[in-house]
Amino acid sequence: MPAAGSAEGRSSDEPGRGDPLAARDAPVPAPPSFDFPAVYAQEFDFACRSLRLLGVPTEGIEDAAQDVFGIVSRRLAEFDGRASLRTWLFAIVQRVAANQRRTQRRKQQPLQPLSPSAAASDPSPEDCARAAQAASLVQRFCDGLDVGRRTVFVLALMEDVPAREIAPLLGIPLFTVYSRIRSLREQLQRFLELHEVEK
Amino acid sequence: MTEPARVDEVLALTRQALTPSAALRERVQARLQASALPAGALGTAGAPERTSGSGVFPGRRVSGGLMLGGTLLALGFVMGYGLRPDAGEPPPLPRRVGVPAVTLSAPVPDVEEPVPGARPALPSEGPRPPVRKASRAAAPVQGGLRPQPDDAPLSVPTGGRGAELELLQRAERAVRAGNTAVALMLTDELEARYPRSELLEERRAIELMAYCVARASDARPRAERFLRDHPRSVYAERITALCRVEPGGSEPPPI
Repeated sequence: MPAAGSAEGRSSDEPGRGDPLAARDAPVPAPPSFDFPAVYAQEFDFACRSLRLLGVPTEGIEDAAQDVFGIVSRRLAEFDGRASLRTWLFAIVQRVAANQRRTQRRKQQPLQPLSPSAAASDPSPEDCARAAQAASLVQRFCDGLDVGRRTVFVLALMEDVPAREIAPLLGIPLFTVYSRIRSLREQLQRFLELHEVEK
Repeated sequence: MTEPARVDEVLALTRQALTPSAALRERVQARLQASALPAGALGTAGAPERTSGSGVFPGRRVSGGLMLGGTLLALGFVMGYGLRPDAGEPPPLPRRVGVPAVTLSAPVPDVEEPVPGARPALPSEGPRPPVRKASRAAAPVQGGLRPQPDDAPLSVPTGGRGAELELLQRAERAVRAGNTAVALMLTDELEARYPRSELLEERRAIELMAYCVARASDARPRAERFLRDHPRSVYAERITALCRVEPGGSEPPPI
């Protein structure tokens, strides 16, 4: 699968740069083509983790993932590669998560931090418990963040999406993203200090 | 004192814990696969057939029979609701070659034949008018799309009325199936694609029904406003029942 968000893909859209005739004659980079099964295979874990961190409870993950990839399959043709695939996908995930949260609130089902069926790790009960405990803490931390910071947290800290790809998604300067990442790490550190000491 | 390394460790553990299982991946895959069947109805002629042997998401493997079936269904729907039959099928939606044509068209199961594994209807949905599936394409059912006058201009900006109707149909089926998230996404898409449509009332009614099925806190005032604005709407009875705005009717219990 080609890498999305290539530099040449972005620069071709910037007006007023250089010689307009040269720009007109320059070869237009072909839009990247994406294969849905490949996108599904590669991004399913990312989508599910993001859904969880955006507040979709375990029992709603299956429906939400179906919704996300249903939309992806329908909209993939419209994806022009100017943003990265992950940030494009994340925008869909955010929307679906918001809808799911709204639906789940109506049902008022208790939120379960984790369930064995949703965890991929089998190594040992102790490892699973540690992972579940960590996930529970991080989810609590996430719940206290506003949408913009939560987006930065999920993409940058959890999924290692580069800051330069997050900035256009949020419409904020690159250095603001860096600053938020640093600030979020510090906040998480303080949160862990507080809650791990409590335990 | 928590060290920065502990932050990384916690993040890694969280990543591990939230990574979905292979079983979940397969279940969602199966559901998507099941929902991909009517993709050909949107029209994908000319697109290359995908030849991957994985069998996953066979969006391009839509036979001519399915496409014909989808076209006939759409045509029957259009004729059944009094739209101009001579308008013909709208041009297919623009689609880039080389991209699978799997669509969201069928994650929305019919009421009588739920897709295996699909989410169940909300228990709070209450009684709904019976749906005669066999006659849906041939004759308007109660609460269906409003008949349009014969001389109504076809002024749909993009995609054509057929495409809009299809989206409306899907949204309505999603509401019937209790799949309100999908219904709302579809109505959002309709709003984006056809902001000044003649079928605005239908779209609003479907959106409202989705809110009512989902028991949104503001569903009832929305319903009252809709009924005030459209007292003669063909959706009025259904909305009244679904949103319980009838005088004397009990308010939906808070959840």
